[in-house]
Amino acid sequence: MVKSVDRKPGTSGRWLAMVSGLALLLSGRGESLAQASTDLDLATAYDKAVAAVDAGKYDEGLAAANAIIDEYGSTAMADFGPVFGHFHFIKGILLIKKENYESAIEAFQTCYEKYDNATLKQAVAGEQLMPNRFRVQALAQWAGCEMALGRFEDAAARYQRVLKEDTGQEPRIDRLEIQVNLAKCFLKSGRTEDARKFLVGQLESEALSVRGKRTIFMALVSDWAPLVSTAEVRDFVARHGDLIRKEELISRHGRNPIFAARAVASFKKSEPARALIWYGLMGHPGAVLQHYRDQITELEARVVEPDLKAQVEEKIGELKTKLPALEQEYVSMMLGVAAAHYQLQSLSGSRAAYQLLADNFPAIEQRPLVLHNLVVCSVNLNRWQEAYEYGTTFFREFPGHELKPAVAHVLVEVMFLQGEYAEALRIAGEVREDMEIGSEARDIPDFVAGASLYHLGRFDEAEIEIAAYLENYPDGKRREMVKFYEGATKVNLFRWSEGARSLDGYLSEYPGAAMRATALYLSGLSHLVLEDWDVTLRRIEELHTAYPDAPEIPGSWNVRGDALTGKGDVDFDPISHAHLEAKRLVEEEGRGDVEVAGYALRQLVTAGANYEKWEEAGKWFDEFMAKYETTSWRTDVIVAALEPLTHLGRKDEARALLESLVNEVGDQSGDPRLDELVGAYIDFLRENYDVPEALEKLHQFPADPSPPPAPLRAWLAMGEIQILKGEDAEKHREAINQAYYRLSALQDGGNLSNYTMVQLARWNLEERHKPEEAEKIYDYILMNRPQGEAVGFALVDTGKILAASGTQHDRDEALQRFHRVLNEVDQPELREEATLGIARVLTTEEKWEEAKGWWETYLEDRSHNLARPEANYEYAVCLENTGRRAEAMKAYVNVYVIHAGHLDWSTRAYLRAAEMRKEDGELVDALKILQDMLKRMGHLEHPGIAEGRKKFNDWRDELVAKGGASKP
Amino acid sequence: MKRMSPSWNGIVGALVALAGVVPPMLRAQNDVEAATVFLKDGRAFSGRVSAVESDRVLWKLPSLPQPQAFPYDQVDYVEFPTSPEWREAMSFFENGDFEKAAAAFTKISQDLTKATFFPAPGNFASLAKRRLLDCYRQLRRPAEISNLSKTIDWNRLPASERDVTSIVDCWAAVGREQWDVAKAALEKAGPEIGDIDPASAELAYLHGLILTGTGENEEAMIEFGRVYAPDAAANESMAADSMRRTILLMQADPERMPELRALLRLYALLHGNGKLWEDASKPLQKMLAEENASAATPTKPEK
Repeated sequence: MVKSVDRKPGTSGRWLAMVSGLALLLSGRGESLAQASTDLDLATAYDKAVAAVDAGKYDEGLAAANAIIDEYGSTAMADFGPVFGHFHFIKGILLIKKENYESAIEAFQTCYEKYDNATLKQAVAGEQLMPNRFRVQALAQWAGCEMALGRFEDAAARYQRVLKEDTGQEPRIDRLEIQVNLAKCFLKSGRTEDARKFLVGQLESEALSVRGKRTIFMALVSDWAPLVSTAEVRDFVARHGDLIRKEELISRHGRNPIFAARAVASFKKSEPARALIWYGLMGHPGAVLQHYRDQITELEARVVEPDLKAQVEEKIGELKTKLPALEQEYVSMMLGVAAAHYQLQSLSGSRAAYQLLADNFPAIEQRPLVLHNLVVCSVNLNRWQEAYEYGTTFFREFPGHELKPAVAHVLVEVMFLQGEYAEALRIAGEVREDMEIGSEARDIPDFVAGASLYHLGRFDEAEIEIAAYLENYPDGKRREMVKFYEGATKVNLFRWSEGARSLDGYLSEYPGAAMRATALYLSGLSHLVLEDWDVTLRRIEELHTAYPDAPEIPGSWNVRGDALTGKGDVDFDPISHAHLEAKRLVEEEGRGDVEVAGYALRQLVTAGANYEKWEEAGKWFDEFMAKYETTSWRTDVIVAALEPLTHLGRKDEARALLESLVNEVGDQSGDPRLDELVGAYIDFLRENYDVPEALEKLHQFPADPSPPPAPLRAWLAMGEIQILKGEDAEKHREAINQAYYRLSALQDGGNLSNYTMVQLARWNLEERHKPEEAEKIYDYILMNRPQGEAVGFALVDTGKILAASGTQHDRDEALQRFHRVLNEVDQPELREEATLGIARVLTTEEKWEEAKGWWETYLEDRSHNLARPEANYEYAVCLENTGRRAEAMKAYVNVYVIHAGHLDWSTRAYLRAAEMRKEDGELVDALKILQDMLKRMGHLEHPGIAEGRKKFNDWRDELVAKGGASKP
Repeated sequence: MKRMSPSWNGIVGALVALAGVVPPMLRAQNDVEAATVFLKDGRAFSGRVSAVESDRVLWKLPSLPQPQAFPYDQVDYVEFPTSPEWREAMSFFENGDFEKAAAAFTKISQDLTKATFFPAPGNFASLAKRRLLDCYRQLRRPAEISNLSKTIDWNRLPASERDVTSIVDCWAAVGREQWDVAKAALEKAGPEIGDIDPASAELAYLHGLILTGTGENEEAMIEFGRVYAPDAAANESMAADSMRRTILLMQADPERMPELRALLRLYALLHGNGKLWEDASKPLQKMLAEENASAATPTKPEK
């Protein structure tokens, strides 16, 4: 066994055995010695000293040895020869036991120097002198004492001398132990390389046994390796590691504490890779565990005689007691291996080790860390399901652990950052379930939920999540990002005004935000839609100046071009330059995508048409068709190019292109493109052909397939109606009605497009006065085509039908439909009709206060023109019925002054105003109001005017009868 | 799965000692002719082989004058005295020198004289083939395993030596690149090995080979990770090869460059003494050189 420098020298049991054995030699001489002394028995004294070492009675032993040395020492060499040195040797050993190393050195020095065996060579014949057989051992113990006293240089020199003088005779010294100690002395005295050379020299020596080499190897691991670099350790293990790797498992396992200590020291120096060197040399505790488990299994299965059963069970019990410590060792090693690979970003390796721990050792103290790191590894290896399972295990087992937010963070945010939005959303939804809203742990999951919904295009849901985040996390970790998503979501929901407001707030609040470039672009886009041209241009300007490399740059040039177009007072060149730049960036610098370039050409063709730059528009059209026909702008570009192509003498080509577009959607009755394209086609025919030619083109439409599908047939009939109406509706009434009847015949099964259905319904409503027929068509739209403009028409028209029906239930339904229009439809004229419809129903129901509010709403919007006289009049009625008589009077006057020509409402206003004055007892004033009415309108035929005339006459007679006044 | 011979011998030694029969090691020292017959009913008898016939073994027990006949259908297996050649081969094997062990076992397996071959479970020719399989497994030579496994008469091996057949079948199928067969064999072998038993690293290695063969590289890297990380201490050469294979697969995945760099450093440190394997590509060597240059700060001692 290797003695470390920390241990006391000379305490090895082997020395005692040798010393005891040699006592026999002295004992053999005992007789003659005894003859020389009557007081002291040398052999007895020697035995006593040796026994004292064993018994721990060091003072007794020293007394015995010292007594002999004192008695015979002065002449011992002459009397007994070198063998007397043994007393000094045992004295030295006893002094070591008492940790009196200086005195021990003295004793060993005396043994070694004074009792030199060279004397024997000069002995006379017949003289029975015996050799000092502990000289070299004394030298070794002397060196050991020097080690204990920290005199490593001296000790090293002495150990070298030991190795030189050792002749291999009995009692043998353990040369291996001396060699190891010598190396330790080298190391302790700073001679690291000397130590390595010396020990490695031993390792490579053919003379040394494998067992000896393993001892040397371990000495190097314990004492040399800590002092040298990882590269030196690597080289050493690469050359000699097989000494350990090929050792029998159980023996190898016995060395584990040393390797484990080295691994721990490596971690402390932040060298996980070095730790792996040491782990790789360990006898795998898993293998040892399995070894013992196999033994247990075999023993348990073995059939044994009854009298041996107890022995077998005892053996099984003994083996089982070894297992817990081995399991703990396995866990420690695996934690180290996992951590080392984890720190080195060796993900598969780390994951494997952590997974073994997670699956097989659910009760270990480090389990939260194990699960956390395993989740991190799994996520980074894109093993989402696995990450999810271990992550949820963590949440289930450690709901209050400090690592929980980190696990949640890893699970959801890393997935989010890797673009796995669906997974991130799913897991965020689950992990936050038991987390308190507004808590730190829930911050990231809530952020990820909202942001993932955004990236998944589920903007309605994203908006709700994002709003909740902003409310619940005033100091949230991702507040800045969420503010961006808030604005971007509004933009994607086409809520331009809200989007612009949110994004402008974001730009102002976070001037250095990571998403500023995108925010500038989206803000510019929103303001473009809101027709805030100058704001748009400012946003784009900042984007171009501050973020010239941003991915939004190509698209932003299109936004700039559109804003310049919108301004209306800009020359063609700046507009075309903007769009050409967008195209150039895509084509020459590979930025943006073909959609951006396609859109640029769309706007160039459109601008060319608007500015009557026919040649340029035609050239850009041709370029588009050559390079970008597959983009989503094909239809738009063809429609925009119709006029330029016509001017360029390519009218037939333009018509043929348009016809091909119509054919592409001719069978898709619910597709709004069918309405748009056939509408454009009909306009094209009306603008470029006379009525007979246009009708001929419609009748001979080159349908593909032929005959044309029902939706297209319906549209061709609609086109005929529009062309005929455009020329003279009255003149072609019969032909128009015939076309509507053809439309009606095609109506079943949803063959009609939305536009044609609405037109057919209105024809039924207005021309045929058959609201029930109109309702059938509108019901179909509401049931089967619940999106698009047609729904608005259906809701408004059926709302009006229901409002007129006279029942409370129908009026309630009418109100619902008008409200739906306000919630779902953007078209201003339909929104106006809905507002009007609500106000009318509430007025009918004499809900004056509510009705007043809706009439006010109607009147506040200056673009509402369908029924301003009615609205003003009904508003006055509401005022009157809510007790505001004076205001009502003014309002009535307002009606007949401002809207005098609208006799339905102005005559009512006159009459009611007059009645109010009469009710107030001001008959003369009442008659004056009626007189004013008759003066201004008396020449006209209207029931209101007739009633006014009658009232005037009646009241005038009444006044005369009262004798109150002369005729007004 | 049965472990390699060291533990096997240990178990047998313990069992025999408990059963009151002379332990093989002692017997070999005292009586080189002594052998032990293990019967299927659990009994074991030590004595000398008197004769080996086609259907039975005749046994001379010390306490009985006449040889006892044990029909093979009653014999679990016979532990015959070992020969110097066998002991030398086992020494190579136990010292991890599998090349030499393979050569020695090959020689024994081909010697069908009575010295090594008895038509009974436990004969050395059959056992040598069995050990040879273990050598090839250690040397990761699936083609040799494929060839050898066809020639083994498993019925002439002790029952405890036969339960490796699934894993051998798997190796053999890998050697023939029959991935479905290999996968089926692997599934059969898997449940026999405990999760934390490092022996399962061999299964993970095989699984990695199969997944590589079927082009499932991501999963293959996961399986190899098991071999080179938690169980590296159990089989250094298999760990090194697993790491090498992972590096080769990973270099095609630009998203895993940081991990690839980490593995290159680890391979050089743990298995290559500062270098990659012999025929490593130049781009990988260059990457390692870059890694070494970027980590040029000398490492410090532990204390």
